[in-house]
Formats: sequence, structure tokens, C-alpha cells
Amino acid sequence: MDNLLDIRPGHWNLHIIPSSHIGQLLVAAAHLAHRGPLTILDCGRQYDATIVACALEGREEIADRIKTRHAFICSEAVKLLQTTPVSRTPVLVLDLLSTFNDENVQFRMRQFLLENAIQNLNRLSRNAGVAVIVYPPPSLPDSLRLFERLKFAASKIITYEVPTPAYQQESMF
Amino acid sequence: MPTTTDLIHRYEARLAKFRRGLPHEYKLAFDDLFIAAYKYRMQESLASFLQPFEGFLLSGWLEDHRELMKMREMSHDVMRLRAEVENLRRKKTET
Amino acid sequence: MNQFTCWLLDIYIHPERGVVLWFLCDDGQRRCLYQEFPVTFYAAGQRHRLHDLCIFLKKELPSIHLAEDERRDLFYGSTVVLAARLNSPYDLPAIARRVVDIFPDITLYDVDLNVALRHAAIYGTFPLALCQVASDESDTIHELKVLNSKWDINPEMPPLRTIVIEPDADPFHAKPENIVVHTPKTTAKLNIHDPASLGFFNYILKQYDPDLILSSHGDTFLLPTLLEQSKKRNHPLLLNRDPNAEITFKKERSYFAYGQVVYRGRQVLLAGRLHVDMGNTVMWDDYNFDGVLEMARVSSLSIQTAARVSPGTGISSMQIITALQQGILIPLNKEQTENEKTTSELLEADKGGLIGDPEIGLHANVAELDFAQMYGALVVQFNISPETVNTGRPTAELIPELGILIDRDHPGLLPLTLAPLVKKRTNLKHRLLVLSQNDCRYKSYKAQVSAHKWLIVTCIGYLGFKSARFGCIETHETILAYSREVMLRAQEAAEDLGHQVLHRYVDGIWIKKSGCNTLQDFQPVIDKIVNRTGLPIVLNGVFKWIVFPHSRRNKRIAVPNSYFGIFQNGEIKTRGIETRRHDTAPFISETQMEILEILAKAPDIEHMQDYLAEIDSLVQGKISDLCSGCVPPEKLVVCLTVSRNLEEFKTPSPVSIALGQLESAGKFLRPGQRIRLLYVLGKARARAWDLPEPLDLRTLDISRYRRLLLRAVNTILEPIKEHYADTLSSMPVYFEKQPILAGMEGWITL
Repeated sequence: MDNLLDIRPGHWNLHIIPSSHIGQLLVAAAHLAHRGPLTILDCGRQYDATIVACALEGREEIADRIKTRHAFICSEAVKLLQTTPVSRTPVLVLDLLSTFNDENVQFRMRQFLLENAIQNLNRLSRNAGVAVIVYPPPSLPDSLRLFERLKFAASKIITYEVPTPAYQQESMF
Repeated sequence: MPTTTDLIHRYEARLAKFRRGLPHEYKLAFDDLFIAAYKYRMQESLASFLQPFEGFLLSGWLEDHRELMKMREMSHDVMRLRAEVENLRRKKTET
Repeated sequence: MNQFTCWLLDIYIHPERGVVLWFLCDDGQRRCLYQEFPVTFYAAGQRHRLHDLCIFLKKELPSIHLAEDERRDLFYGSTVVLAARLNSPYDLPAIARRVVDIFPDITLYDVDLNVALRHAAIYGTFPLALCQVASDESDTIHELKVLNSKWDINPEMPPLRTIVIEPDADPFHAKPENIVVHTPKTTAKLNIHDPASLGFFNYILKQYDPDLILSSHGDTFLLPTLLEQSKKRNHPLLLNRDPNAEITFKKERSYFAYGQVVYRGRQVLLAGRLHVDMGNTVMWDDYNFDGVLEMARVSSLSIQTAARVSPGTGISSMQIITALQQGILIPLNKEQTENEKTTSELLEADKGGLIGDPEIGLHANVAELDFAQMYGALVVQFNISPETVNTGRPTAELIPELGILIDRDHPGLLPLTLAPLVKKRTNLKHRLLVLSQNDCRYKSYKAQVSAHKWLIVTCIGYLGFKSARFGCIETHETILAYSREVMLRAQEAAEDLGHQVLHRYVDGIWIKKSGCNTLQDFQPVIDKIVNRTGLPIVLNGVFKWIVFPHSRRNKRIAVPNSYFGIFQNGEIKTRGIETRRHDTAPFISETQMEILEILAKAPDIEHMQDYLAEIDSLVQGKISDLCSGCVPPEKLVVCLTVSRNLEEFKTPSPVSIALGQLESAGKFLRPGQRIRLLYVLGKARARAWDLPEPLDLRTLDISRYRRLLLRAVNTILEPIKEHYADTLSSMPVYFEKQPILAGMEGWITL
């Protein structure tokens, strides 16, 4: 998760993490707040303020540097990106593709909205850095296409894998 | 967002090894602390502690203090009764 | 010109003549009339794109009328939009789909609205509205006037001609052979496989010409089976009253809502006639057909639709009508996004209603008070609405206790929508307080009140719903913040007058005070609470006694909203215990209720001990019946909800085991549906009730049922035994695990 600290203007990085690592990610995000303000756009109900608050040992003045907004459908996710102003505040987008996997929305519309989202990620990354967090997609053709499109648009892709232990000790019981 | 009950469960799980290492009668005392945390769930949630553990500790402390206040009251009652018994004894001796 | 006084039965779109309206006329005739009904939708976007849209629309539909207009957006105020008027609502869905596909960057408004809602917004119509209609010789309506209001308490209702149809067996459990048709005059049994049955069914429909077909398994089995037979035999079925209209089919679906999976069966909707499947109707158990009618009236949705949609759709429909009447644009998708929050603000805002742990144990003379439709009252009283909360308007005032800005000057969409509903519900509740339970209106009023309750409660939750068009999480948070403040003030008011607050739960409060036993004794606290909160509060009753049981996990941890008790008028009330849980076998919930009925005979707490022997006798009898196989197996069936598809279960559970058994037998259940099973011995542990092969009663896990029975018994008796612990020399004890020595259960000496 140290790579998360490497948010730089002019780029937006795509972080592909296992969903079990969200807690660690939020702790890393909390440490980002030591440096200054941070905007979090939560597109998949992933943000747990209690983890962040605990990581910051209850220091309200630092915790309140983090400002959060939520989206629950893909058009709302795009609206969040559209209405986030360009500034020096780094932006962390959580689980961007979650709302885009909603099959109730026509695939063509989801593609259109994703293009819009990518344009806004490019816009936001001009002055401040942007980190986009996604989980490995479900094995549905539409989801995979959207995932590949997002990967193609990213400045850099960082994939986190759960390391398999070299040696597994047998249990005693 | 997790509920206060979820947070209590989380802390219980996190402190399970600490509890396991305690002698038996201390385990009962440890569990009692968490009962206090459950008892004041609503109040903890109203206060929106940035550090939920603050709320749990405050709840445990509050329960202890309540017990202390009750014991103080009982102690005053006992002292008063003792004084009355002494008084009666003295009167009996005098007569 | 022909003039009629009639009730509106149904409304739907006609391909050429606008809308079709079916009326039940006061002369007994059923009439089908037509009405021209142009509809308008709106579009907003970049000018050059709107220009392209105009060209496209004119090409697709030359008769469309396009103009620039100014309309009101709920959040952004006056907005210039392109208004597109179509002569017929029939063309709108296809055009809308094309526009969304080709112009995804254009924002559309008023484009997907139910025609019944559009009609209601203009004419004030609703199902079974009493109307004055004037039509010409071609049955085209020229004048339509609604004579009554959806808010009337005792509206004049038409006599609906109703038939009831049901299969002679539950199709999921066994193969039905016959369809049973009940008319007011007769009952007929028609063999499903007999070709003559179709003709006979048509004869019944023609002879009786019902307005309403009430069915059991109608959507999921009966009507689809009959229609399939009709198609196979090329013998048309006269289900529709309108021979020119098609029957509407809707697919089954499962979806996630309010933390659980919900299943909706497929639907068969008729034209000119109503079909309501009692088993596929949302909330049927709660408020049956009277409630469905009321839901349809207040939402203006057709009765068939109102029966099958959730209260969320009902309240959304009401908001849409208000928006149309106020000239507010209704977006196709939710447009409003959340305001940013700091970590502290998020922790502060993300809370629900006030839920406090109850005081565990047995209590006497406890008053149960609850704020009448609290959330609805808050919305109306304080003008809480998506566009009035945290608004930048100069008329907004800060509520200091909550740190929220609310514009109290301009009536909001939500208060305008809810105000008449809240008023009607309050009115009905007052009437119910004085009406005898034997009065013929009692049942209907109760059902209506229940329907209103679900609409109001859902309205608040709906504000946070992802797809709610006017949804606004800040509004939802504001209502909850107000509700917590109101509950805290109520608690303070009660404690100021020396009452002990035993439990607080969202909008209800339980209090007791030494010397306060009757309804009149609690009047001062009611007055004080009303004074402190500004909201009406109702005394539901005074419990002779009430028990707040402890958690199974730990005797010192309480369980919110779990209690049982007897009111002074003898009524038993339970929450959260086995009698109220749908996953309890009927044998067990009935036993628990019988115990409560025995305890209800005690005049007060002190005399409850006199009934322990009778209870013990009952329990011993039940154990004996269970162990000797005298309990019919259907009384041991447990009903659980399927939460996911079979392949998604990670560990075997009774549900997954039973689901697998059903799938092997060719029977499939979707997430959200209920599965019925029995607990059995052996590795299987569970057996689906609806398997075709007969059940071997010897396989029932009697030991498990015994444990569950005694657990339910102990739920009632343990708190009472704890209360008497110091005073009774002996009392019945029931071990949930099998006792080591036979005969250990029953009375023991302490």
C-alpha cells in the first residue's frame, strides 16, 4: 500500500487490490491525510470512517482533512467526478467499477458513462494526483470490457496480490 | 458504516487473545467490561466517538462508578444502622 | 352526449385513441371509454445537441410538437428545456428508448411516467374514484370530473363483482388436478387437463362478468397454465374484458433491498378486469385487499399494479403526482449528488433512529407510548424535503440543536405529498380508538392504517435509496436527527415527572411510575411530551405486565424491540420472540401463545405463580405429543428465506440442503423466495417439505424440535421464574438439552 502514497499531479494510477485488503487501503489513506487534505469518492460503499479514525488515533484535526462523498449508481459516480473541482487536493476513488457492473443499466450507457468518468479523471489529475481503486472484476463479459477500458486509460497500473505462503505449517490439532 | 454493536464485536475479536491469556476470574471481569459497552450502545452511538474504544472505556467506567455510588449509599446506611445500634446499646447499659 | 356517474376501474394506453378507461356505472353497466391524452416530455443539454435531438425527433415522429419551455427543477430552480409533445402516450416508450441510446448526454425528464399517474395529476383520478363523465357516440370522453377525493374516509364504493380461483393443491408441493372457481352463487371444480374446462371457465367469465379475479397462485401457476392450454387447443380464453387489448406479462425477479433479498413472482395483468393474486401481493398478510385498495387510491396506481409493487413504488408515485401538479421536472435518473462530509460529520450523520437497550426483566403497569407516524409528522411539521434541507436560500433557518439549515417558508415536495396522508391516517387512528372491533368498518380502517404506515415509513428510507429520483441522503439524515432529538426530549420529559424509562425504540417509549396504573394516570406525561416535542404522542395501552427478555448469549445483555406482555384490556402483545418469527414452526409458536393466554388470566404479577402448574401441565402435554408422534408434520414445517443461489452457499445449512434436494427433484427456488423444510435425523439434517416423495415420519428430528419447543417455553418462563426466585419454593424447570436422568423435567425444589 506504500504505492498509494505516490500520488502525483499529471497522473492517475489504477490500483487493483483484493477486496480483503480494503482495511489496509483505508489505513494508507489515513496516513495520506497527515500530509494534507484528501478527497475520497466512494463508489462502492467501501469507506469505513471508523478505520480511518482509529488509524489516526482519534486526531480529529487530521481525520477532518479527509472529505468524502458517495455514489450508488454509475451516473451518480460520474456526477461526483464531474462536480469535483480541479485543485491541489489529491483524489482517491474507491471501487469505481462497482456501480458500472449494474446490469440494470444498458451496456452502451455504461460505456458512455465510463468514457465520461475517464475524461474527468484526466481533468482532476492535472493539478493533483488521482488514485483509482478497483477490485478484480466478476467474470462477466461486459464487466471485463469495462475493466480493460479503464486499465488502458490509466497512467500506471499497480496490482496487489495476496502472497501465498512458501511453507504451510501443519496444525497441531 | 458499522453499527456500535459491530464495533464492539470487532474489539472483542481483536482482544480475544488478551482475554485468553487472563486467569479465569479476570476473564469474568473482562467480560463485564464489554457488557457495559453493550449496555450503553445507544449513548456511544449518539456521541459519535472518533475512537470507539473511548466510548467503551467510558461505559465501563460509568458502570463501575454507579456501583461505587450504590456501595457508598449502602455504606452510609450501614454506618447509620451501626450508630443506631450503638445508641440502643448505650441506652440499655445506662438503664 | 351521454352522461354517466360511475367509478373508475382501470386505465391503460390505447395504440390509437389515447387512453382506455373502464368504468363501473351506477346503472350496473361496465363501460369502456376512450380519451385523447397527449403527453409531454422534456430534455436539457447543450444547445447544439438539443438541435440534433429536434431533427431526430421530427424524423422519427413527424406529428411531434417541439417548443422551448421553462420548467422548475426541484434543486436548481427555473430551467430552460426542450418540450416535446406527443399526441399519444403509446409512442413515448419507443421514442424514449431511442433517445437514451443515441443521446446519452442529454438529460430527460417526465419520460417514463405511468399513464395513470399523468392522468391523476391532471384530472385527480384514482382507482374506484366516483366520476361524472360525458362521452359521445364513439365512446370518446369529452368531460371528466372526479366527484370525491382519495382522502375521503368513507368513500362511496361500487359493488365489485368478484370471483375467486385457486388450484386444489399447492403447485409447488403437489400436482394440482383441478381449478376451483368460487362465485357468490356457486363453486365449480374444473379439471385442469380437460379441454372442456376452458369452455366452462369462459362461460363463468361471460355469465358473471367479474370486475375482479382474486386468485391463489394465479400469477405463477393458474393463469399461465390456462393460457398455455388455450394456446395449445387454439381456444381463446376471455380473461380480458377488453378483447382488443393484450394480457400483460411481467417476469419474476429477485433484488436486494433494505438488507435482504426480495423475490417478486411473475405477473399476469388483465385489461378491463382486475387480477390480484393473494400469494403474490406485497403485504397481503399485513393488510389484505382493503389495504391494496387503499394503496391504489392514495398512489393512483392501478389496483393490479398497487397489489404487486412495494410501498416504495407507492410513495414514489405519490411524489410524482405532486411534482407534476407543481410543474416540477421529474428526471429519468437521480440527478442530485451527496454533499461532501468530513470524517467527523460522517460519523455524526450516519446514524439511525434512537434505539436504547431495555431494562431486562418483568415489570408491572407499564405504559407504551408512541409518536403517531413520527417520521411523517416530522416531515410535515418541519417542512423537511430534499430541496429545503441545507439550502442556500436566504429564508433558510438554522436548527441549533441539529446544526441543519431548513427553509421553512417554501412548502417542500415531500411535506406536500405526505401532509394529506398523515392527516388521513391520524383521522382513521382516532376513529379506531372508539370503534368496536365488531364494527364492519373496523377491519377496513385497520388495513388502511397499515397501508399508510408502510407508505410513510418507506418514504423516509426511500430518500436514501440509490434510484429514488428525488432521493437525498441529507434529507434522510435530517429526519433521523430530528427523530433522535424528539425521543431524547420525550425521555427527559418523562423522567422530569418521575417516570422510569424502561425502553426507547425509534418512535416508541415504555415508562412506569409507582402509583400510575390507569390511562388517566399517564395523561400528565403525555401532555408534557407533546409540549416539549411539538408532536402528537399516543398511549397505546398500559401493560398489566411486560417482560423484556435478555439475550440468549448473555443474561445481562438486553435485546431491543423484544418483549411480550398483556395489556390491561387482556390483549397480548409480543415482539421479537418465537410467536412473531416466521422461521418458527407453528407447533412451537402456538404453544408459546397458549402459555401467554394462560398467563393473561392472572389479574396481576403477584398472581402469575398461581398459573405455573397449568402451564407445566400444558408443556408436559406438548412434549408428550411431540415425542409420541401426535403432532401433524405440517405443524413442524419451518419457513426460511433463500438468500442466494445454491452454488453461492459456502457451507451447508438447512436452507442449502433443502434447496439442493428440491433442485434434484426439478423444483427451483429463487433468492428471496421462502423454502419450507423439516428438521430430520442423519447427515441430511433437513428435508424440503415440497419434495414429491412421501415423508417418513420416523426420520423427524424430534430431539431438535423438543429443544426448540423448550427454548420457546423458557423464553416466557425464565424471566418470570427469575422474578419469583426468592419467593417460590419450587417451580417448573425445562432443560433444552435432554436431561441425564429421565423425569428430571417439571417441578423441582429450589
